[in-house]
Amino acid sequence: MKLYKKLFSRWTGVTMLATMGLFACQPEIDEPTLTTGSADFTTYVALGNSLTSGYADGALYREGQINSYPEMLAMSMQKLGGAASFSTPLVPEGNGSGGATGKIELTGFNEKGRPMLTPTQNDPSVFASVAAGGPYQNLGVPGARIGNLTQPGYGSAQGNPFYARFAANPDATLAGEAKAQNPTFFTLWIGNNDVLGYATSGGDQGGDVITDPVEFKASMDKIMLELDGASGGAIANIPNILGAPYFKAVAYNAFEFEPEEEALVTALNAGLRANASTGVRPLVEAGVRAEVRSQVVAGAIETIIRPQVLAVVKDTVTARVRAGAIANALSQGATQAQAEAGADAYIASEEGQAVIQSNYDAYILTEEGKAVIQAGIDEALARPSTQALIESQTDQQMQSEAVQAIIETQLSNQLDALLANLTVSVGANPFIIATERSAEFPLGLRPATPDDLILLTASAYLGAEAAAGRPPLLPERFVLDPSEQAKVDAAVAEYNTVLQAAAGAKYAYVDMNGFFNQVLGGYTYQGVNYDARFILGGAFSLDGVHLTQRGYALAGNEFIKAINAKYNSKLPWIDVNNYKGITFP
Amino acid sequence: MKKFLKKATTSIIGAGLLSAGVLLSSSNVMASGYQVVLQGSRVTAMGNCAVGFRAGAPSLFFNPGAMAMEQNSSIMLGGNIVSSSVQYLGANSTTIEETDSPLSPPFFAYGIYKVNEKLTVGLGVVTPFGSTVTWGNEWSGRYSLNELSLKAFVIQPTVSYKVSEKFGIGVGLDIATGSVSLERNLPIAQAGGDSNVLLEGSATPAIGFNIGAYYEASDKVSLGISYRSKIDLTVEEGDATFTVPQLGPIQAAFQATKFDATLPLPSVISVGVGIKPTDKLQLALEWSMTGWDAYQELKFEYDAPVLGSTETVSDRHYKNSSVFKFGAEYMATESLALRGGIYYDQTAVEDGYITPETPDANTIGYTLGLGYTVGERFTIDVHYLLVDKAERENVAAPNSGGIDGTFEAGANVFGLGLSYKFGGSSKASE
Repeated sequence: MKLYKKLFSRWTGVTMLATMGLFACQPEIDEPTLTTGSADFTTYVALGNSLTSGYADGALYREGQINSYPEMLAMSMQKLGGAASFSTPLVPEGNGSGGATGKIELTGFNEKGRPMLTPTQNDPSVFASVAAGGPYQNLGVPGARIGNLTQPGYGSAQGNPFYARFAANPDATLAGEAKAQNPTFFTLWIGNNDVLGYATSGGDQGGDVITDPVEFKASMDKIMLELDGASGGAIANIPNILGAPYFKAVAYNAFEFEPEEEALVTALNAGLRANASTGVRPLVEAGVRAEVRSQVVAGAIETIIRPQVLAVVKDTVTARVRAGAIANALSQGATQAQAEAGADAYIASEEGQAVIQSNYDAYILTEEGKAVIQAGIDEALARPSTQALIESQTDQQMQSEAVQAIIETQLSNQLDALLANLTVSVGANPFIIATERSAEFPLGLRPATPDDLILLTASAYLGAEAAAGRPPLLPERFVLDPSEQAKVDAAVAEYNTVLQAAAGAKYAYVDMNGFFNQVLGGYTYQGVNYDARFILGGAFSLDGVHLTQRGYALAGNEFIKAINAKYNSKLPWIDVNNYKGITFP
Repeated sequence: MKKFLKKATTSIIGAGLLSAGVLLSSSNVMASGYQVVLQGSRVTAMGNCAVGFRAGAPSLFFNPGAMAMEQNSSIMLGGNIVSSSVQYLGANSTTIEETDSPLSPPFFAYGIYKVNEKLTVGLGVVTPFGSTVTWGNEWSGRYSLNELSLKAFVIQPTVSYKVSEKFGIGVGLDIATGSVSLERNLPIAQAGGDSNVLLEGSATPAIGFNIGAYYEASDKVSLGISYRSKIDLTVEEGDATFTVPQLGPIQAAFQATKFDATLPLPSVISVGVGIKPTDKLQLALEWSMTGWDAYQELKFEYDAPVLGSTETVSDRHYKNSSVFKFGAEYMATESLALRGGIYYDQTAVEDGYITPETPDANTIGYTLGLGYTVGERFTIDVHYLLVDKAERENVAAPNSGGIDGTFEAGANVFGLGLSYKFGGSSKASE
């Protein structure tokens, strides 16, 4: 009892109680205070293209739409009491559609370590109308260019089916539908397609055009007019699209052959050579023939024609001498007959021959003499019979072993020179591009250079060509050469100037261009690394140009950063790791 | 086209995996490291002071010099229950996430044998670490850490010599060993969820030493100084298990099955003063410094390439840190002691290097306890310690493996110790 009392004296009791009370002490972080600052997020609309719609993996599909950046921004605004009703015109569950096929799936990697990408089956129900469920606040339309946002009829049956499926009516415009909702806040990310269409179709050979910057500004002004009623907004600029995996994933020298494919390499080189040969051989033969013919002609002249002509000249000279002798004799009183006989005897004599010879020798050196000889030769050559002879002689010579050997050697040298940088070997090779014939590229083929950008679709194309038994030559429409790239980069820069000016003092300007450049160089967020590599970079989806859900979340945070900076708001950031990157099979 | 994935997978994980194991981050939360003293109930209750006064059997571990002053042989056995939690708020987020760690039970055991008037020997077995930090695999920092579980063990045979009535010195041999288990997700998603890596291993026993000197300047004032040497704990041939998609190029990037890692258990130097204003009141003041400068980076070496490299390194850049402690014990009656104390512990972790497994910050600890002696031989001590770490923001330094956000950690520790004195003097050791 004593012990009990001692142990549980009032001191002990109090201490133990205090202890148990303290046991409940847990660390507690202060919750952040959120504010809208000077912005009003009550009604938020998003205008844009496929990036705004949540398009990814080559298709518009429901899961992508639900995880589009406007939906994420709306969730963030909702924590501040804004964007109470924010809806996206969702497609039915399924593979979605990019027009021709459903979304692309990564089905694995083949033995060479290359990713195997399979498009799923197209879901045409994507284009069934959901207009009745409107009005919608996510007005992102895949394929929209800046001019389309204010173009009546863009949502009609003749317009863009991705808009027609939710347009309020066929004459509605996207900017108009935004305005009709009296938005207090908007986001606008437009302009990519104005240059992307040109780029993804291979540039000048693709058939698409870059929107003229003057038109671009005019369209932008129209949009700003429609959105004038919003007290706040955020306008994003256009990234350097050429940094996307669609353009970067395939290296200029990704034309690779394994050691086991030695036979293919030999066959390809032989095929190229044979092909080139068919074009070059006639030229070589023509050149050799011309050479041979001129030799034949020279020979003919020297061995036959000239002697003949000279003989005639000598006869002429002889005749003259004879005539002179006859005239002489006649002047001395001989009769015609006597004179002729005397002359014949004279020209037959040594003296006569000597005179004839010296006259002849002198004559052929005179201008007149040379002219006569040349005329004689020319006349002889011009005769059809002579030509025929020359031709047949040339033909004969052409067939000779010696000439054939020369032809083959010259052909070989020419081909070597022309094919010097178009020969493939085991390992990496620059792609062989089928281009226009020119002085620089007489074969109509050129090797890709490190400055060329090869489109992602090139691999599939070459695979199909190989399967069809055709040589793996890449048409220019799969390549963006430096001049085409320069056009793209220039357009992006010009568009961004317009976009920044439009943001002006009233709206936040989101530098997506700067952010994408950061990602290209490697970017880490919440323990995950991102870069611009295809599939493994985590930011770009399986079509190489649109983003993964995490990529869109990162983009969304860029919007939030700019909005918070502009309007002194504290929109909570998007939790990027809650979303998906690339899912491997 | 093989180069498609050859060196490729490198950055998908990149720096994330480099932080893959903060293997034995010994300042982890509570009940770990040398800043938090749980190897004796009385000393814990007195603001963690243990060096500058006669602390009893735990002197074996805290100041071997004072062990010589013990007037009796004794044995002591005790343990703690540590409940710790860490809260995390991502930068710019509104969602607060919290650990769900299990309770951990660090314990201590001492046997002191008084050979003769001058010489005392003893053996101590303590667990300087013994905690698990569990964040789970769904929180936003799951690519940094899911769970880290550390266990360590130190056995210290000690000998102490009473040079004079006032002065004692002692030395002990520390034999340390331990084990670790670390799990985190890898950002390679499969249909069934994220990939992950599990690293498990045991450290080969390593040796250090512990020396101390104790001097009683007068009846009222005593001084103590002790030094524990740095021990490098090395895990060799630990098991590395990567659960990643069964795809050629991905598996090829994670071929390792074994890993090696070394972590320094830093040195500690302590200086303490004991003051007895009255017979019933013992005050203690103490300063300790832990040589965390020794922990500049954490390196893992694998038996096969992981993401193209057989070694991953993440920066730690810890700095030496001090603790300032104050404790008091009041003998309410001859048998009942009341104890309390407070300490301030500077963090060893520099800005930018906080990781989910070491969410360290400057700490204030509050201690309470009491001890009751039955029949002059048998004593039961109970103690309570509240560890309050400051809220701290982290902007992760590159290559640190941490995440941005605000952390706040804390712990409640409750424990007790039982001791029994043999023969010798009949007075309780003071």
